[in-house]
Amino acid sequence: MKATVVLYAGEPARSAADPSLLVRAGEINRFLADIGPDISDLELWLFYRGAPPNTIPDIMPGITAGPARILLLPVDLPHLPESFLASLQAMYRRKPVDLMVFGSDGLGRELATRMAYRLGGASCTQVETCEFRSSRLQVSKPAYTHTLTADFELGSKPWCLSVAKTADNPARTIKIDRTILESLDQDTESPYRGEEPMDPDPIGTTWSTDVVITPEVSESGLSHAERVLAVGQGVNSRENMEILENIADTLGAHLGASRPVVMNAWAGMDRLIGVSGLILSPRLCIAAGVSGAGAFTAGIQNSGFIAAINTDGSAPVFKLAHAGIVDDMFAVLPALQKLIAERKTDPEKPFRPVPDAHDRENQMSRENPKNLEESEK
Amino acid sequence: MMKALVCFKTIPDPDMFGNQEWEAMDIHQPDLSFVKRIFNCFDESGLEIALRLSGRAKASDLPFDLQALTIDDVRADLFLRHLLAVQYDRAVRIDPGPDPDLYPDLRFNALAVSFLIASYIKSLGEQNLVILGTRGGISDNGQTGPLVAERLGWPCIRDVSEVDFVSPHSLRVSSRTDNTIMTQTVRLPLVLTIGNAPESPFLRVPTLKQKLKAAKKKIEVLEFPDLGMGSETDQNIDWKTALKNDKALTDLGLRNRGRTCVFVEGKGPQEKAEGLYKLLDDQGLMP
Repeated sequence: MKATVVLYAGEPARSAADPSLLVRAGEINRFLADIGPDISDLELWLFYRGAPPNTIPDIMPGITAGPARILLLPVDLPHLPESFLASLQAMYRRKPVDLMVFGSDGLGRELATRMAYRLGGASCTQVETCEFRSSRLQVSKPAYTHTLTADFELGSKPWCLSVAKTADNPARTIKIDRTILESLDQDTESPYRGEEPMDPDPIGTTWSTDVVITPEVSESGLSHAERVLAVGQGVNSRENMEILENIADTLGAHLGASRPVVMNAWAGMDRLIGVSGLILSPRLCIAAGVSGAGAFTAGIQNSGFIAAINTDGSAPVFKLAHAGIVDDMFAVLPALQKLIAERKTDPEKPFRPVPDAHDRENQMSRENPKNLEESEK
Repeated sequence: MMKALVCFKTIPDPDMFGNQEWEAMDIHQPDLSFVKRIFNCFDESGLEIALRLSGRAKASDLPFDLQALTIDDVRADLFLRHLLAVQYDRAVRIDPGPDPDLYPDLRFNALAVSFLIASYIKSLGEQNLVILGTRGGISDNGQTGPLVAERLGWPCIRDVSEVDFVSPHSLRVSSRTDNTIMTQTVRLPLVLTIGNAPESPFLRVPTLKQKLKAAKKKIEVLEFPDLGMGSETDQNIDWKTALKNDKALTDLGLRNRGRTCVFVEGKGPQEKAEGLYKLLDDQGLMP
């Protein structure tokens, strides 16, 4: 199977690679590991703006010696998907492949969809796993607000996939091996040299003017936090978010929130956890006032340990949690905060007798016996 | 004249059912008819953004035609009625017809959905703005908007958060995507897919008077073969081919969330907090 990975390196990427590029490349590496042995020929088509990069993300480390070939493709108007589509169509005409893999970001989803449509292929977005069997490609993706997994068999080639967002496991940065670049094409700056000029995109780019692009700066520090206090609609007000911010500080945690909390303007966009926000993998996540709808829990399910607090003992979040408390978060969390503050001032202060944790094993299946055994000691 | 169409879908409220309900039903043909339905959250933002845009245009005495479209059965009429009450000019439903088995499963078929939407838009003639949610709850494909744009040959802006009126033929559009905020002036026609829109998260609620007035308005219902009827080519459409998917659903399964939850018990919140503290401290997770 001939495959290509399509990524946008940002601008300009001369020295240090864009961290978000490495995250997307890491997601693709994880995905490609499933079908690495089936790929006979792999290329990285890396778009860039401005000066060409001299470093690239390491695609498929350990499965092949790295990308067999690298193509650097300039793009003038990276904010317009049409700029990429025209180049990709031209590239595909020149070097047809069976599989095109795109990043998990919005651009990747859009390009996968539109390329498949234009090339008469099949597309799927948010793909988590895939399997190549008897010349057919099977893929899996989340469905029904991340409660179910849907499996599909894709139709005609080329298969254009965008991978699912996962918790950070960024790819390494490697220097571009110029021999690999030059062995493919004498002109590394433009793959179109010596050919007819590529067709302009039928939609064009003149419909957009006065473009202002600003990076969205996150001040929450949430994406790489070791401890996260993730809160849901149980918060009820912006004032309560301020109380929870204070509690999170004492816990040594960063405060994150579900979509309804952010959409109610009780928290900023940089605190949004879930499919439409951040996918996290902290050591500890305390999920409080969260029902556990799939779109949110997708953002915390990779946490090392999840403690859930909810007044409804049947809330789906307890299915995901290692430990749970059925009670009001605004009663439990201040008590926990007080305990931490007390222990900081007097580490030797004895606890009152603590009741044993009761296991509701009869209601739930066992997945992580290690944590359970440790907690029962 | 700006003529806007907002496409939306309603979904079973994901907060109203969990794994226990899923485990009790046939996952391959899940019957979620018992679950309260809500607007898909991104579509809801799109519906409100269009209303605000319409309000601004009309305040400047500029004509603005606003209609809402969904592909659904009669259960969606309640939502269409709501939209008529909050001043949508037209509410249109494309009905799968009395025998939905005649047509392919649309749940994971963005190609078919985009075909129906694009056919409807072409049948209108002068439409110049289409707004959709960036993705929906059941399939979560995020593909319908870009595919509608491809079928119409129009530009598409994804993850839109705000839209403002510039002239009858242009808009100022802000989008939050891939760690950037982008604002641009754009010429119609155009497809917008709405992402996280904190300035317009929820659809407004109609007054009783508006509801009573809307009760008398008509919801237009079309069936698949109605779309594009009138031209010789369209009359010959093979609907099964037109609505064919590029991927075949082979299985649906519950995601692996079978974790054992240890419930920390106690007489009150204080005791429970102490139990949790000890549990986390034992695992080296406390600060």
